[in-house]
Amino acid sequence: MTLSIGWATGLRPTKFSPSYGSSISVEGTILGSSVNEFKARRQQLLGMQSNTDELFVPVVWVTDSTLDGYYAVSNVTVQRKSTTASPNGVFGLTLTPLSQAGNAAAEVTVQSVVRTNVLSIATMAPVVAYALPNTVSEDDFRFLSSLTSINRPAGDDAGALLGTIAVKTKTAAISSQTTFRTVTPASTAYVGACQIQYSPDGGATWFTWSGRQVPLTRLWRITNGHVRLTSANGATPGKLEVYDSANTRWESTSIQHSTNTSNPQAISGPGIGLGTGSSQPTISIAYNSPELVAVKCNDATREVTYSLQRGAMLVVCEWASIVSGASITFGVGPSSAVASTTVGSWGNVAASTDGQGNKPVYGYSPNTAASTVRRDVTNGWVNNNTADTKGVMMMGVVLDSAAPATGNAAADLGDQFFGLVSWSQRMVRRS
Amino acid sequence: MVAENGKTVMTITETLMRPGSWNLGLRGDTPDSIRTLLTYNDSSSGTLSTNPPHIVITSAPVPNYATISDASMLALSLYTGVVTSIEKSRSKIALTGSNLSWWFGNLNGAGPWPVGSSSDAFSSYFSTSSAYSFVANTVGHPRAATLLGNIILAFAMNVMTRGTITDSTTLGQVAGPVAGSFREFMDFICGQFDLEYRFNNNRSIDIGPASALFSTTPSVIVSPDTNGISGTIRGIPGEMSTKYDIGSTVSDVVAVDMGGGFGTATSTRPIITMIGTNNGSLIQRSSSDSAGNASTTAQNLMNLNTSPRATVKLDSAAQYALTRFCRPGDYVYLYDPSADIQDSTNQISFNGRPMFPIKYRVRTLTWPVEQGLNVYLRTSKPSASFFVDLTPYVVFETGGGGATDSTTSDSTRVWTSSDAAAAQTADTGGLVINGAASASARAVSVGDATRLPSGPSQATRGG
Repeated sequence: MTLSIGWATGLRPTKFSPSYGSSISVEGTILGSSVNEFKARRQQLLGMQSNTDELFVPVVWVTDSTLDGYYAVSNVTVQRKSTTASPNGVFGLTLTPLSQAGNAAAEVTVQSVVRTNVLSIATMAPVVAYALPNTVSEDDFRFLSSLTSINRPAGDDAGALLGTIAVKTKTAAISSQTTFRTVTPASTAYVGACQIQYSPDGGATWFTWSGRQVPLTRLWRITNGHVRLTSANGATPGKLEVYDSANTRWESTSIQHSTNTSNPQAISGPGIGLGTGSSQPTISIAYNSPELVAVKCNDATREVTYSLQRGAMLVVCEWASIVSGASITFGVGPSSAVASTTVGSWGNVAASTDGQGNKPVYGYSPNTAASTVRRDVTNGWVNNNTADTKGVMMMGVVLDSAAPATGNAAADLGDQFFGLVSWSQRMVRRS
Repeated sequence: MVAENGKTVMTITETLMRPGSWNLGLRGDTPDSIRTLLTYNDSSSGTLSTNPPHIVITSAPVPNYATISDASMLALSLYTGVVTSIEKSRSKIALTGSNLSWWFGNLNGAGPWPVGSSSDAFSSYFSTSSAYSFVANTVGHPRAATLLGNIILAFAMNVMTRGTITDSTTLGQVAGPVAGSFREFMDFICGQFDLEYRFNNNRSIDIGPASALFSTTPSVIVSPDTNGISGTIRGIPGEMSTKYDIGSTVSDVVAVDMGGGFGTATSTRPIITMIGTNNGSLIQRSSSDSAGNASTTAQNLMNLNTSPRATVKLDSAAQYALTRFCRPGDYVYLYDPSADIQDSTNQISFNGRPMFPIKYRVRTLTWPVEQGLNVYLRTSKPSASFFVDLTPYVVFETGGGGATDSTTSDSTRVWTSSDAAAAQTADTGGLVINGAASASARAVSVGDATRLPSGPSQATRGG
C-alpha cells in the first residue's frame, strides 16, 4: 500500500507499528521513478522535520483510510539504494498524530486591512477565508460576517481537477484578529494549497519543496492550484498561468519585469526571478505553508519577494532597492505587447481576450505620494512613474473574461490586491 | 544571578538611564597574574587608594589588546562596566558590577557633585533669586541639555566626557533636589525638560530628546517566526506575552493632604460587578504630604489606575550579541496576534508576509555572556598593560541567544514634561515616586531595587 506524507508521495511502508493515538514508526521504500524524483522525495521528507511553517502534515494511506490524518513528522532518515531502478531509496520516520489522527481542524487566524497606498484607495474585498472540501457542518465562520463565497476549482500540476474550495471575500477590513475553522479529510487537505516547486531538468518535471531550505536549482514556480507563477528560464520569459477547470488545463501568458522609464515603449527589464536572459539568481524561501508561500531573490540592484496566498487569483511582488539611497523604477507586464485598457487608478487589463479566453491584469501600488502608476496601454506593462526605494505590484488573470465568475473580474482582483491580509493556519483538535 | 536550577547565569542587564548590572564568572585556573589585578587596592602613587577595574566586552577578538589605546578599545566595546565586587576563591572568581553610570551615582547615592562657593561658575546655572533653581529659558540662559553638558565639562567629573548634546524645545525654571547624586540630579532635570541621557561604552554621555538618542523608527521586528532581513528591517525570533491585571484598578480615589484638604477623582470607566447592572465601587484612599495637593494627588492616582493594566513582556529573543541591533531606549516592532500584540493601524511587510506590529520601547535588556564574546579587564596599573584578556578563563553561557525583558504599562508611553510636572506639583520636595513600577522610568531610583529614595520629603505611594 502506498503512503503520502505531506507532499511526499510514492512511499511504500514495509514495516510499521501503528498504535491508535500514539506515535507510529514507519519504515519503507521510496518508489521514485528517477534519481531526480528520489532526491525530491528525500528533500520532502527531511524538510518536514521541525518545519515551523507547517507543524502537522496530512498523511494519506491509499488503501487504508482509517489511519488518514494529520501528523507531526520526526526522526526522519532517508538512504539512497539504487541509482537506476525503483525503489531507489529507503526511509524511516516517526509520525505523531495530532490528538487522534482524524480528529483535527484547520484553525486559521486572519486579519485584513487596506494596503497602505498613495492612490487614495480605501475600499477592498480581499480573500479572508476559505472552506476546504469537507463536511460543511464542521466549518465555523461565525466570527466573520458579510462574506461573499466564490467557488474556485483547483488543478493539479498536470491540469486535472483536484477539487473546489469555497473562497470567501469580505468588503471592508477585518480590523481585529479573527479566527475561522475549516475541517477536511487529509486526502483533500492540499486542494488549493500553496506550493513552491522546482524543476531539476529545465522544466520537464516539477517537484514540490518542503520547508525553508534554500533550493539550489534556479527554475522555480509558486502555485495554489488557481494561478501559477513560473520564473524565467534563460531566454524563456517567465509565465503567469491560470487554471481552467472547464478545459482541465493550465493556460499561460508570458510575463517579465519592467524597468521602462517612458511610455509607450516595448517592455524591458529582468525576468521573473530577476533573470537576465542567461543567468538567474537562486531564491531563498521566506515562508512555505499551505496558506502562504513567499520566495525572495535579489540582484545587484533590488530585493524582490513573490508571495501567493491560498484562494488568490493573483501573485503579489514586493521589491526594495538594496543600494543605499538609490531609487529605481520597477514593475511588471507581458513579455510581448498586449493592447490594454486601464482599470481603476492602479492597473492595466488586456483589451481583448488572449487565445484562451483570458485577460491578464497587472497592478501597482506606489510607495511614495510623489510616485504614481505609469501605465503603458500600448504594451500592457505597469511600473512606478517616479523612481522610488520600494513598491509592490501584482499580476493576475481574469479567467474566461467574456463572462468572468464572481470575484474574478479585473476590478475584483484590484480589490483583492489592495486588501492586505495576514493569516496563519494551525492544526488543532476538532473536538 | 542564580537560575532556577542553581546554576549561576552570566548575564548583562542594561536599563535605560539606570546602572543596570552584570555578573561574570572566571574559572579556578585563572592565573595569579590576573588574580592580583582583581583588587581595589592601588598603592602605585605611594598612597593606598581605591582603584576599581572595569570590564570591556567585545563581539570579536581584539588581537592587539595588550598595546591598543584606551580610546580605541572602548570604541570597540559592546559593554563597558565598572567592577563593583570581586569574590575570589580557589575554585572560581565572581565579578559583578554595573555600567559606567555607577560613577555618577552608586548604590548609596554617592557620586560626583560640582561643589563650589557662590562665586563658583556653577552658581551661574541657577537663578539668583532663589537658591538651587535650575534655569533654562530663552532669556540669556542656554537650554537644559547644554547646561547639563557644560556642568559635566566644566567640573571635570573625572570619569565621563561630554558626548553629543541635543537640546529639546522645553523651557522653564525648576527647583532642584537638595540631596542625592549627580545622576539623580540629571534624572530630575531631564524629566522636567523632556530629555534623556545615555552613558556610552566609550566613557561619553549623550544628552538630548529621546528621538535624538535612540531609534524611534524601529529597524528590528521581534515575532515568533521572523528571521533574516527584509528591506530595512531585521527580524529576530522571540517569545512575548501580554498580561492584564486589575489588581490596582479603581473607580474612585479619595485623597487627604497635610493641610486637611480633601480631593476626589472618579473614573469615567465604570466597573460592572458580578450582579451585572450595578456599578461597582473600588475606592482607593490616599494621602499627600503637601498641603493643598489633595485633588491633584487623587487625579494622578486615578489616571494611573482607572483601567486594567496591560503589561507587555518580551521573554526572549534569539540573537547573538543582541545589542548590536537594539539598545535600551530604542523602539522595536513586536508582533504576535495570539498574545494580543498587534496594531492594525501599523502595516509592514516582512518577507512577503503582512504584519501589524506594535511599536515598543525597550527599557531593559538582559543578554548572556555567551561563547564568542571576548572579555577584557581594564586595569589602571601603570606597570602593566592597560587591558588584560580574561576570555580564556570566563565561564560562558552555553545557551546562546539574547533575552530581552521589559515591562511597561503602556508600550508607547513616554514620560513627558506634563507628567513630570504633575508628579512635581504633588510634592514640592523634588523627589517624587509615582505609584507603581510602570511609571518608574523617570522616578528617581525606583528602578534600583537596592536603594530607597532619600530626600527632604517623601511622596506618598498610592495603594
